[in-house]
Amino acid sequence: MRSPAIAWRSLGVPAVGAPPRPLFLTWLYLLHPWSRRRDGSGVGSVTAGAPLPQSRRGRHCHGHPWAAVLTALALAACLGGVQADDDPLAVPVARETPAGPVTLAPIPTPDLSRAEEVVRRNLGEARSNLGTTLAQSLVPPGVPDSDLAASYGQTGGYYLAHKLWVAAEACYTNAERLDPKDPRWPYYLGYRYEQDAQPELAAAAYARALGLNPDLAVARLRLGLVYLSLDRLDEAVPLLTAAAEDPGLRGAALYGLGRTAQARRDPAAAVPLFEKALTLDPDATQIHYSLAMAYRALGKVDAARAHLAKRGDGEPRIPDPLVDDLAKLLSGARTLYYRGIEALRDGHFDVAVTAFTEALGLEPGNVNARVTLARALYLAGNPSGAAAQLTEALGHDPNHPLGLFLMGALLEEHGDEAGAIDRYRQVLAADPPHGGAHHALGNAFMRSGDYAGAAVHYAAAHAAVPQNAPAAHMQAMALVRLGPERHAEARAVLASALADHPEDAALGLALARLLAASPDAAVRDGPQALTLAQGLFDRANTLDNAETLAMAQAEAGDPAGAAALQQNALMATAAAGRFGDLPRLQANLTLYQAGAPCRAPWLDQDLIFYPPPLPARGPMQEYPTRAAY
Amino acid sequence: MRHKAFAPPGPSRRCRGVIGYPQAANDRDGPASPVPLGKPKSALARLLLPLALSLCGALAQAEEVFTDGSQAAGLDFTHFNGMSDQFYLVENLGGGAALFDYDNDGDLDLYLVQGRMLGEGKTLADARFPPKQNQVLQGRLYRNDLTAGPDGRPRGHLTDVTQASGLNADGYGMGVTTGDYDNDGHTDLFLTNLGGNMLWHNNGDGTFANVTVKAGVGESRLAVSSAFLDFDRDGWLDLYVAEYVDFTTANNKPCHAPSSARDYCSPKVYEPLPDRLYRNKGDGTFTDVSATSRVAQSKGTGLGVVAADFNGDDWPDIYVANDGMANFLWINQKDGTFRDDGLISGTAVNAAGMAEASMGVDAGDLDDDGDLDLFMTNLTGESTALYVNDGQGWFEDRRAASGLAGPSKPMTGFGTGFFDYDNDADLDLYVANGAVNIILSLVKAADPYPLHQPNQLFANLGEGRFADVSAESGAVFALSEVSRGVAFGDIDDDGDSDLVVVNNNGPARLLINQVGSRNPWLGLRLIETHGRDALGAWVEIRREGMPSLWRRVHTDGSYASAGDPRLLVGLGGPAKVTGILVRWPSGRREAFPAPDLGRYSELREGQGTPEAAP
Repeated sequence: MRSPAIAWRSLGVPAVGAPPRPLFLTWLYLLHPWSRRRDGSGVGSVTAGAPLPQSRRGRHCHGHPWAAVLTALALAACLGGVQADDDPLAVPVARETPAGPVTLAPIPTPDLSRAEEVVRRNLGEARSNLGTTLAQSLVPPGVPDSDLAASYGQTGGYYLAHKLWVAAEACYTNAERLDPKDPRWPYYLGYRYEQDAQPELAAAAYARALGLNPDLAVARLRLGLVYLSLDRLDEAVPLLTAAAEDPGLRGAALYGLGRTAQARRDPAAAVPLFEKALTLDPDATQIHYSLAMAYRALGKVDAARAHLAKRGDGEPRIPDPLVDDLAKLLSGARTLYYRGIEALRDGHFDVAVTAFTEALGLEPGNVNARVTLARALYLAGNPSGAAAQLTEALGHDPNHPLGLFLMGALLEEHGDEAGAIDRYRQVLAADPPHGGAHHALGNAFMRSGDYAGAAVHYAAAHAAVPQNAPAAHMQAMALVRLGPERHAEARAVLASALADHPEDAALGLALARLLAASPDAAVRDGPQALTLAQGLFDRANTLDNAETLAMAQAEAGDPAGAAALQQNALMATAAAGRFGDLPRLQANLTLYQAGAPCRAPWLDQDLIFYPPPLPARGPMQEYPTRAAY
Repeated sequence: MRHKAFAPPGPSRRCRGVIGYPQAANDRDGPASPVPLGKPKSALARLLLPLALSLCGALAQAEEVFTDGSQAAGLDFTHFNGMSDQFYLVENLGGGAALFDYDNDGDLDLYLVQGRMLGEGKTLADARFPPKQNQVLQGRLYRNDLTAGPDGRPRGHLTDVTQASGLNADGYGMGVTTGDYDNDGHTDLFLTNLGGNMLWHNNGDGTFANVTVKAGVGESRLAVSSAFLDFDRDGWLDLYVAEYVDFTTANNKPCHAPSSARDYCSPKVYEPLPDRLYRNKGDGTFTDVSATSRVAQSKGTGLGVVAADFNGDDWPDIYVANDGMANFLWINQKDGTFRDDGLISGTAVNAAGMAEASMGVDAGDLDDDGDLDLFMTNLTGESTALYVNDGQGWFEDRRAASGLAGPSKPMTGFGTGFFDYDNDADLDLYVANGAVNIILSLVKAADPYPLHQPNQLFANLGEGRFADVSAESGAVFALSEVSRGVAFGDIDDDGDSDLVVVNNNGPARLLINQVGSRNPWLGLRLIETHGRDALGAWVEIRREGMPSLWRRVHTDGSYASAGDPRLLVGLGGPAKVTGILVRWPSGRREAFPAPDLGRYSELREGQGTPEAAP
C-alpha cells in the first residue's frame, strides 16, 4: 500500500514549505465551488481527471458542505504542510529501465538529532534534492536513469563521507540498479563495504567495478588487498602485480605483495618487496613492522629490531580521486577532525592540514585543534605556518603545555635557545611532569655546563616517559661530568636503564666505559665491562666500540690485547681521515703499551656532553616520541 | 520489550542471507528489520524461496550444542551497570564470573560480579535500566549442589549463599580471579573494581573475609582482569593486576560517533596505567614489586591477562591484552624481573603493525605441537586475533588463514576461551560478543540498549583452520545480548565444558553442554605440593600412535573471569592414552600412568615418576 505521503504527492500536494504545484492548484480549482459548470458536470474526484461517482454528477458543488471541507483540508495541507511521512525516499519505488524492471530501495533516514547543525543541514539538503529528483522521475516527462542514478550517487557520497553506512549502501545500490554500466557505483559500494569491515561484499563490488572498467587501476589494487585480507592469496597476487604497474599505486601494491608472500611463509620473497615499497613511500611507517617480522623469520633479529624501532601507523598511500571526492562532501567540524586525525595517523599531512584548517574555520576557538594543525603544517613542510598557528593557539590559551612545548621546539630548531628555554619553563609551570620539556631543558643545561641541573631534568624526563632511554643515558653523562664522586650514581642509572632496554647500544657502551675506566675503583668491574664491550663490538665494530673494548681489556688484565686493538683503531681512524681523534687514541695506546689501564672514560670535550638542539620533527610527529628525542 | 534477548529464537544467521537480513550485525544506520532486496525476479526463484526457507528452518533446528540451563539451575542474576545516559566508560566493561569450588565438595560453584549506580549524586531513579525491585547490588555467590535430573543425568543446582558467606562486595565490580593464595586448600577470590580491588580469603567454613588491607593488594584506579601465578616459583601464588585507564566518573569526557551522535569514548582519551605485580610473601601479605620487576615501566590499557610459559623454559610469562595499544608479552627473566618481548614476538600488534582493541584473551595449544598459541578478541572491524607459536615464543598472525577473521570482523568480542566443546580432542573457541559503540540501526529501531550482538562458536577443523558453527549449534546462538565475561567449566560434572556468560546489564546465562560427554574424555585435577590447584602446570596427554595433547592448568584468561582449574580432555575417537607427563609450576617433571576415562582423577606433585627435562 502506498503511503499517504505518496498519495498526496501524486495529487501534486506540495511538501512543507514548498510552493504549490500546478497539479495541486488545478485540483483545488476544480474542487472549488466556483469551478462547477452551470450544468453540474465537471470533475472533482480525488484523482485528477477521474469522473465523479455517477450519483454525484450534476450536483452543484457550490456551497456543498463536503466541497468546502475538502477545500479547507487541501488549503490546510498546502499551508500547514504534510508531516514527515511525505518522503518519496522512504518507500520502495518500482521503475522500468532498459535492463528491465528494478525496485529502488528506500533510503533510511539516519538519526542526526545530535549531529552538528551544518551536518544536519547539508545532509538534509542532499536528501531533499534526491527526493525532488525522484519525485520528478515519477511524473512526466520523468528523469533519465543516468541522472537519477547520479542523484542517488551524489547523496550516497554525502552519507559515505559521514560514515552512514546503510544509507550510503542503499543509495549506491539504487544507483547501480539504475545505471549498471557506471563503474563508480559498485566501486563506491566496495569502498563502503571495505570501510565497514565486510570484505566479502567489498570484493564482489570491486570485482563488478573492475568488470565494467578494467582500466580502473585503483579498483584492482583495492580488490587485491581485500582478497589478501580474506586469505584468497591466489586471487590477490595477479591483481596486486597488475596494480604495481601503476606508478602511483606501486608502493601500496608492492606492500600488498609482500604481505601475500608473508602469508605464504616466504619471508625471503617478502623482504625485497617491503624494502621497495618503503623506498617508494617512506611515510608508510607501517611497512617497518612487516619488514621486521620478515627479517625475524629469516633469523636476522637485529635487523628486525631496527625496523621495529621505526614502526609507525602510516599506511601506504593510495591515490584515489574517487575517494578524494568524498572528502569534499564532509561537513561539520567534528567529521573534519576525524578526517584530519586519520590523515595524520596515516602520514598524509597535506590532507590533515586541509581538514584541520576547514574545521577551525568552523570552530576557531579550538586550541587543541589549532595545535594539531600546527603539527600537521610542520610535517607537511611549512614550519613558518606551524609557528603562526602556535602563536595564535597560545594567544587563546597562554598556558597550553603542548603548544608551548612545540613552540619551544621550533625556536630551538631555529637557534633561539633563550626563547626555547623560556617556553620549556612555562611548560613545566603548567605541567610539572612534562617529559619533553624536561628532556629539552636537560640538553640546554648540558650545553651551558650546568650538569647538576641537567641531571635533574633528565631524571624527570625518564620518570615521565620510561621508554625514553636517551634521557637515562644523558642523566648518567651529566653525573659523569660532575666528577668521579658521582660515577657510582651514574653506574646505577645506566645499569637500571639497560635492564629496561637491553638492546640499547648507547646505554651498553656508556656502562661498559664506566665499568672499564672510572677513576673510582668501587665503580670499576673489568669482567663485566669486557662482557658488555665484547658484545657491542661483535654487533658493530665501530670506533667507539673498539675503544671501549680496549679499555675493558686493559682493565681486565690484558693490556697487550688492548694495545693491539687500539693500534688497529688508530690506523683505521687515520686512514679514514679523522685526524681529530688521533691524539686521544694515541694517548690511550701509550698507556696500554706501558701496561697501564685507561682512567678517563671520556674526555671533557667529548661530543656526548654537548647534545645538539633536537630537531622539531620528533615532537611534532608524535609526542611523546617513540624514537630518541 | 528490552531487547532481543527475550525474543524467541529467530532464523539462524546462515538463513538471514537467504531472506535478506542485513549481513552485518553492526549496520550502523539502517533499520534493524529486514531490508527487502526486492521480490524474487523469476518464477524459479519464487519456487525455490520457500524451499530454501524450509531448509533453513531445518538447519535452525539442528542440534542444541548448548542449552540455557539458567532457570533449571536456579540462576537468577541480572547485571546492573548503573548507566544513566552519561556514557561513563566503565559501564560498558563489566562484568565477570568465576567457576570455582569454594566449599571443596567436588563441584563447581559460581560467583558473579555486580555493578552499582554511577555518578556523583545519582540514584537508582536515574538509572536507564533500573535493577529489579529489592535486588541487592553486590556480587553474588552461588553454591552448586549436584542432583540427578529427570533423565538421570547430573544437573547443577545453584543456591544464593552470598549473605551467609559474608562476601558483601558492594563496590563497582569489574572482574574476578581465583586462586589459593595462602595454600590452605581453599580457593580465594580477588575482585577488581573501579577505585579499589578486594581480596577475599576463603575461611574454609563457607565464609569469606575481606583481607585486602592486610594483604596490601587493594590499591588500584581501574582494573578489569587479573591472574594468580607463581612467577618466582617459590610455591606461593603471586598476583598480576592489569590496570586499564585513569578514568573516574569525575573526569568523564564527552565523546561522539562519526555521525556526531553522543557515544562511548575510546580508551585512548584517557591516560594508560602501569600494571601491578604483587609478590606473595607467604604470610598472607604481598609486596608490590611492580617497579622492581619492571612490569611498571610500560603503561598500558590492560583488559585481558594470561599467565603461562610461552617460550618453553618452564617459567611462567605474562601476556597482557591492551585495549588499543601494543600488547605486552612479559617474558620471565627468572630473576624477579620481566622483559617485554611483545613486538619482537609478533604478539603486540596485528600483521599490519597496528595495535588493536584486545579485550579477551586465552592461551592454548590449538595445533597440538606442544606450545601455547594465543587468541584474542577485538573490536568490530578488526577481527579476532590468532597468534600461532613457533615453539620458541615467537608468533605469527594467522587469523586470515585460520578462517577466523571473516566471521569475527562484524563483532566486538570479549570473553573467550579455548575449550573442546565436543570432546573430539582439539581445542575449539567460544566468543562472547557485545558492542561498545552504539549501533545506529538499533537506535533507529528504538532499541533501548543498542549494543547487542550474538555470540559465536568456532569449531577447530584441524591444520590451523576453524569454522563458525554458531548457526548449527542451537537457539542460544540466536540470542543477541551485550555479553562480556565467560567462565568455562564442567558445572554438572558430566564430562563436557559448560559456560557461564555474563551480559552487561542483562541476565547471566548458564549454558549447559549437551554433546561433549558423548565422546571419550578424561578429567584431571592437578594438586601441587601445598595442596592447592597447580595453576601453571603444563600437561602432556600421551596417546598411542597419535600426537600428544597438551593442556594447561589455569583459571585465568577470557575476560574478567575465572574458570575451572581442572583439565577436561576430550579424546575424540578410540585413541588409547598411554600416560600423562606433568611439568609442575615448581619446575619438576613427573610422569603418571594413564588415568581412567570418563571421570576426574587427581594427580599430586611428588607422587609421579620423575622425568628429566630433554
